[in-house]
Amino acid sequence: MSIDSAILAQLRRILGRENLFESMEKRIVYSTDASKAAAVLPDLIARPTSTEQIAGILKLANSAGIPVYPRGAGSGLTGGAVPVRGGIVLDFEIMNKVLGIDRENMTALVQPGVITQNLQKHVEKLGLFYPPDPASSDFCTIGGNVAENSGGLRGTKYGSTREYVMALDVVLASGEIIRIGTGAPKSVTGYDLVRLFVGSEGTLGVFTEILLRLIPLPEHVETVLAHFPQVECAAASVCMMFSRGITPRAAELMDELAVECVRQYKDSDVLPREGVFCLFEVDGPRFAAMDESERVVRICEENGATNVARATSEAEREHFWSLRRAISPALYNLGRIKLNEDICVPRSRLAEMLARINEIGERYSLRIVNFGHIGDGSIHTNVMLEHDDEALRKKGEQAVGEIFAAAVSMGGTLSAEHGIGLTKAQYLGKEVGEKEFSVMVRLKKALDPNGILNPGKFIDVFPHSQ
Amino acid sequence: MFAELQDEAFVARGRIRLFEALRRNEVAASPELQKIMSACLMCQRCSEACPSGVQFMEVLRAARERLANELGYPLFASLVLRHVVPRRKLFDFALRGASLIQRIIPGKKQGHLRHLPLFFKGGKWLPPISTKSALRRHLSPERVADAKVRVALFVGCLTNYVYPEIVDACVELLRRAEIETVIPPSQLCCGTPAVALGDIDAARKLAQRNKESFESVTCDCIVTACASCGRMLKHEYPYLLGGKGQGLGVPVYDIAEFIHAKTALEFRRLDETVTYHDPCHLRWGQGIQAEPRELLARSCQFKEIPNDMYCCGQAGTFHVFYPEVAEMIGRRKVESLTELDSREVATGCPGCILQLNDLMTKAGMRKKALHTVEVLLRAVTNKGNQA
Repeated sequence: MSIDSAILAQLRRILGRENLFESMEKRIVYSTDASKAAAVLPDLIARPTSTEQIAGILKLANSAGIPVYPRGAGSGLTGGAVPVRGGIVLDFEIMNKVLGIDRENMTALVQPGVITQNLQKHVEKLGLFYPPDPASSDFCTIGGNVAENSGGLRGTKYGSTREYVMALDVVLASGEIIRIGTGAPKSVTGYDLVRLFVGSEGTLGVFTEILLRLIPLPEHVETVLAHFPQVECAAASVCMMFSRGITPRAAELMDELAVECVRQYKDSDVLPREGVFCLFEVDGPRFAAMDESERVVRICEENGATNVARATSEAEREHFWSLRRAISPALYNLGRIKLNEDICVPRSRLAEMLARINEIGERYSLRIVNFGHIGDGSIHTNVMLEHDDEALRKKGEQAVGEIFAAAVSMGGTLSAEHGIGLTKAQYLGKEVGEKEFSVMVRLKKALDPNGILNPGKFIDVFPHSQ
Repeated sequence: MFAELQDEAFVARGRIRLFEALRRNEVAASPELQKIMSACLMCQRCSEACPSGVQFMEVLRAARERLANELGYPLFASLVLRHVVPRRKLFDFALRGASLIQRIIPGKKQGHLRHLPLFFKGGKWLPPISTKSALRRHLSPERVADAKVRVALFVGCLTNYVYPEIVDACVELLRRAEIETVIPPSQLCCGTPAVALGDIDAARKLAQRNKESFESVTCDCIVTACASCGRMLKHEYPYLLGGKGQGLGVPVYDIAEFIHAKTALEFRRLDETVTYHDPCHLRWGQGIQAEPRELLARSCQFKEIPNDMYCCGQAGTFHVFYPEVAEMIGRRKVESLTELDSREVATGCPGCILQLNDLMTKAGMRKKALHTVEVLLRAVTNKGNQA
């Protein structure tokens, strides 16, 4: 790979000097993301402002074989934006405009750098709703969400980002600009390329405009916090809710260790010493939501909840959520390093999965904290390592490998919402078979024959060696 | 910063990454690096929001110290911090000179005068430097008969020279609460600007001199009406003065925190609508946000600013070095204020008062920023014991 002075001059012409970062300082800053995965330094950081500029950059990079790494806010947890082979980081932070909201048809046309929470606030003022809500929504970008098919706290009822992407403007590795999908509510013309690109982790093409589906903003939200003696009761409650026709918009579990962490962190004697918590939310028209929340309370009680509280004010709701939010910082009391994974299993297997994780943790004598969006079967498992130590890390990774294998054996998946990227590439073979992987490779070759788009990520790593 | 520049070098994560690189000698101390590190408002919002509990201020302090050691301090600022600020009489003299020049230079707007250092950078509107500083006004404080508590007031430079009325209000409020105030006359600058510029030695010297100054009087605690001084005394002094205990030996309180927790002051509710601006160094730096609001709600028609919270952008030395960015940040604040019908914006930091008044004057708004204690003083009903 080489960026010679001729290419540099062309890049400067395309972008203008102020939007091409070349200094050592900036190269260091953009060399990693929230995964903290180590990388070689990128050579340049390009900050395009238009589709045409991106097409120009990719055409140039493709002919010279220079790697290009699309990047939103760098908040990804699996190293999707890490420039592992040097080259150009394509930073979308200044392509951050909401281009239009169609209130009648409930759609939003946005540039990829729009911060998710900004879009949410923007449309909520108009009585509209963009449901995908990753925990990082106040800094992550829509472009990154589409590339990773991000989920979030409301996935139980509203699904992942995928359900809300209607059309995309994509620049291919060759520099060709294509428009896929449509603003029509239904469409079956040709292959569903939108679904192929959503979640492709920057390896197939670069999005430059995104048309999103919006829905009406629910009138009312009810929040319920339930305390159960054990995790099985919480899982059973979730299943019973669905069978009785209630789809909660959120169902957030905090297992025993998570509760213990928060109790220490908040120095709070209010939290009980034993048992688990589950936070439920239902939404809809006011009376319907209130009725549903009463039924949620009853279902929790039927399943052995020792204490169930309905938030009666905004302050109380905020208090319930603050317990949930405290988990992440509190975790660091248990260890300096966490191996944070986001498995997902069919709902009926939740209790079994949690028991297996427990058993694996005991066998490896590692503390594993579980929390997350159990309404859609997602569990964030955090294998805690007390210190950064080669042998300990190895042990942790083995435990993670076993957790993944268990999840897949129950019909589940390695990653519900964080993606595979760099950090999970070694495990991909546990879920994706050789033949299936080879189809992915053929697709990749067809769209990016020179392998310039986000190289070194899962698609370039053959995962069956283990 | 990031909201204005969309550049990841100017967020905490980028700066932490760069400091690690600096420590590992992967990058040399450079003017660009110094710019990245110095262009931080030190609002501490990042530490508050951090899901991992990273104490960014410690990283930043170390980074600035190292860069200042390798690249040098801004010459004039360093000269002032090392030689003028520690000498109270010289400092008084310099400020009186500045006050004179400020009055000679033409141009006046709503009673505000030109900001001297920023005179050539588009100008800034300031209240005149006071003819008699707070410390000189309160050389021999009134005795309060039967006072059960004795507090020492830490004044701070901006309050001392520009807003002595804040000190007047504090002393009077405390007197009404039957609390005696002492104001050690030899106290100096708290050292925040020195830490901000990476001159830790200068900051430590100031901290030591202040410690001596406050040890020379007997008091139960130290109270300040300046958010930045308060943060410095509470959180930086233990580090600067070598750890053990409280740094200054007695507890330090912000004035609103103190009145809320330690006094039984009573207020009548005034008819005026007043809103409240959160100083970063109170809200994020000291975790104080409910106390001033509750006090205001008891003493006037309190109204929240919609879509809060925005920083005012002043940030001490920051607005001197980065006036354009400071103003961009401040503009958001002003926009959020325009929707309100209240005439007065109360806050707990003289820096914010200065910045807000400048921004509102420029925007042609008929609003005034003032210290929370000034509102409280108008509403207080306790008589207090006369001396």
